[in-house]
Amino acid sequence: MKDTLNPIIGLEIHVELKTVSKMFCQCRADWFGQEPNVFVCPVCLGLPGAMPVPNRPAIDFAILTALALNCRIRRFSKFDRKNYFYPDLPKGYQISQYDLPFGEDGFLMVNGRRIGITRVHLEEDTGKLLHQKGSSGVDFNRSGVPLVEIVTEPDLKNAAEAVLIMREIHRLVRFLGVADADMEKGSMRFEPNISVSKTQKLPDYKVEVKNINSFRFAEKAINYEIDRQTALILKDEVVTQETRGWNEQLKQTVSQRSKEEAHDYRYFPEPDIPPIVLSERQISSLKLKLKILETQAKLRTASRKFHAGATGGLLALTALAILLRKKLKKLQPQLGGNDMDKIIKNVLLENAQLVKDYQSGKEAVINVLIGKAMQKTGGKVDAGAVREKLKQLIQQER
Amino acid sequence: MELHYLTIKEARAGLKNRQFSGEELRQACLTRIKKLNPKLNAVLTVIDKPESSRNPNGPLGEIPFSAKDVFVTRGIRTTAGSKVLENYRPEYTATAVERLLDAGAVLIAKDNCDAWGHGSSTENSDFGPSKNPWDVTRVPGGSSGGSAVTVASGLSFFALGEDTGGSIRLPASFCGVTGLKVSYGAVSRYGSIAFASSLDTVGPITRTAADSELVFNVVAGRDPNDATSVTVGPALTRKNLKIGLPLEYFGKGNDPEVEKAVLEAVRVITEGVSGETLSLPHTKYAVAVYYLVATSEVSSNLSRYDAVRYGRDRSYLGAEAKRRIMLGTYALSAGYHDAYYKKAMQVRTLVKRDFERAFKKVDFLITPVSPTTAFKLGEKKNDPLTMYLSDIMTIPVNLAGIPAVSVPCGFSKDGLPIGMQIIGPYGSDRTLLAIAKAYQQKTHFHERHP
Amino acid sequence: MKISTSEVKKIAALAGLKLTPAEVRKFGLQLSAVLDYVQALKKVNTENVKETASLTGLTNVWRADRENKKRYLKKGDYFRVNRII
Repeated sequence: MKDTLNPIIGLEIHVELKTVSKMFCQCRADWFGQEPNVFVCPVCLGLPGAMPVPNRPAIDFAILTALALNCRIRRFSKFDRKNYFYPDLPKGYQISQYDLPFGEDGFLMVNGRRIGITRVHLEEDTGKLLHQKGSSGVDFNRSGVPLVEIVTEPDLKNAAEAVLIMREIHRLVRFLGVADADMEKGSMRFEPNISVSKTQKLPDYKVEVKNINSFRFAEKAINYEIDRQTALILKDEVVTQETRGWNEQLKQTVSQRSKEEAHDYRYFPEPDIPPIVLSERQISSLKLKLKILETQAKLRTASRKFHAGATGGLLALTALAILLRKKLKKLQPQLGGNDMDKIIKNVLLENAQLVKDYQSGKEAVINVLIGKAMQKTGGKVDAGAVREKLKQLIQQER
Repeated sequence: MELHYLTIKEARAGLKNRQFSGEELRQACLTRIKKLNPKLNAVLTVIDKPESSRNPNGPLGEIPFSAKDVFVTRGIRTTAGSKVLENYRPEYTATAVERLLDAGAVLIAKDNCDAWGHGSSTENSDFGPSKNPWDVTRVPGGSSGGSAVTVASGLSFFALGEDTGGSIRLPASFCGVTGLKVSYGAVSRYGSIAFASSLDTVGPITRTAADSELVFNVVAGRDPNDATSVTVGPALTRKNLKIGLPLEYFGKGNDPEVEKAVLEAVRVITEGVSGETLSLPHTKYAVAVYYLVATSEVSSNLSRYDAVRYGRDRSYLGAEAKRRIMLGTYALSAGYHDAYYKKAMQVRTLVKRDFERAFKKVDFLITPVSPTTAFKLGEKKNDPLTMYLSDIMTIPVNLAGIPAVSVPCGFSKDGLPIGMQIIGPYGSDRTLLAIAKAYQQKTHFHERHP
Repeated sequence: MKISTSEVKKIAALAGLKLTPAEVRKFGLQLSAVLDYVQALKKVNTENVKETASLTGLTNVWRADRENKKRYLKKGDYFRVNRII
């Protein structure tokens, strides 16, 4: 009988995005090191009557991350409510994504091995609890900060591999410019899920380890857990499914709460936020951005090599970078959603008769309306998007 | 001159002609509140410190109004009818209220309501029920009962109410005033304490449809703070609108006087051309759908009341609130989610489709608002299910997200008001009001006062 | 559709509500009655019927990534709760 078993490890990673404002409100997202509760508004404090409005660049950042992880991007997506009670969760629910996350079925290569990325989704962060004598204090500066959650398949086989993935994702989000990923500030958090098995099959339990804020601790914690679980199984004892925390003083993981009483989060679609329908154009635009970043990186490397004496490739890469930039500019409409809305609404109000004609069946009239809208915007919008918006607004005003 | 029963239009004209001042209007209302509120319990908080109008020449310049106590008002106590928020002073103001203030209206009172909007009679208010001014032994309807009473009794010139399953239309019909349930999203919900997020609408309660139009034009329109808000279009000016009468809303369940008054109103509106009868086959499932969907959203919306940041703890929640939270939690819980919440959301689509199909054949529907006139206090209180069924005619409209207006169309032998409901397709709010306005030019029911 | 006492307690715990034994009994009965009533939905054929996703037809409602200092509520101190272990 072997005295080592097969570790099965998956990672759940949370990355705070470095947007200017929070996920669902206009409070500053850069919360670290401030006086408590200074960047709070009715929305992120969960005051009665407050309502969320999604941060568009945060969505772009999440999709960019998903693309960089080779995920399939969902064209139709939405936000969902994850319901549970905790003092740092002001609404008593977290706006997250449940069954239609932005990205799915991706992968990352490490040591020539392919590690599956189950999903990449967007959600809001919670406040922070500060434990003091006799009571706890809650600071909501962090409440509502955009968070990308990346979940890997349980494909990792040892602590070293897990740490390699952590380092790669850490590098990736900084490279993409979507996050600072400062582990000491907690703007990047890792939770490994660890089990051990006598076979290659997934056992019926997993232990989640929290409170890991450095790569060193991660390696120690995972190795500790593997040893702890192995010892139990070899004694024919059952490993409890639970959440444990890494305790650096004791150099061991400590039980926190039993995951057996798994939370029933009662997910349902967030009724205050309309669904997200991504166009091919939006996704292409982000794919292009990714390519540009990758090309620029290659350019930097080639440039260093050139200055060090090596030649070749630099010219071609430069040309490619310029071409990609041009492509990107063409793809992007320069007018934002809200401004376009206003302009289109005005077009409808000013051309009520044309609207009536369209509604009574003269479908070709829409081209006249599109023309008028394009005129007003100085051609700065995509005609296809204008057509869609016009149709949508006309439909609403029936 | 009886200032307190003037319509907004009349008041604006009088102000312009300097027949009286804005302060006189305000005092007329405040005096009346002092005199009648102890008996009617319509108002929870009076704002009597002299507050000058932000815009005396605006469309609602110097017109005193009240708001259902679910709208947050900065620095002014907002309770949602619940002891949990008995001492809560919000730090911001609801968009709809801000728009009214910007148009010059003057807030004088926060109105009583069923706690959190949960109810059809105001008997679920933690601060005692409001009374129907036409017969104080009867309910005014709910949940915006207090608001309907203030308008009907001349305690304010108009009120801002909220309708999730009939909460504007039912009290409007029980109190003889005009209440508009807008198209979902037509008026911003930012600052309206959420009941059921996919059903809640914000709308005016007024003495006339013309007044309703004035208020609607001020509050309606896209709000960047509410991602579900839209801007609806102008009224249709087409003539010869076809009226439909859904079978399921007429017949033996109804008080014969109510049915008679509504059918007579149809005759007036169509000038003798009979309405076309049609069927909305999923009507009978609407209440069941509502009590699964609405309570599911309630169970989530009320989770923020944990006393960490404001208000009192959850032990202060009333019985009806607890019941709905539990029902919703159950409907969403693992193992039951598909059979209850998901199923209800599917049947909801069928209810919505019934209306869409109907509006391909006719332009508008007319129905009673309620099978009966105002019932007695205490009559339905002990049986939650019976109370839920009072909303049978108003609920389907909320499930479909379409607009409907409740318009006074008669009185029972006992002198109790009867209301009719005109229902239109999504976005037809202004056309509904045009129809109601035309009707009120031919009738006088809306001019009677208790 | 009878709800058992233990189920009522479980739901109350999930819902963050503390109920007295009398309330557990009363709510159990009232909820059972409502659940009985909603069983009627079982009869409806909902094959291929999508759940109502949006009433307005809106999609992609979002905002620019900007800070708005005017909306900050003046706090500058912690909210207190009983010690959380």
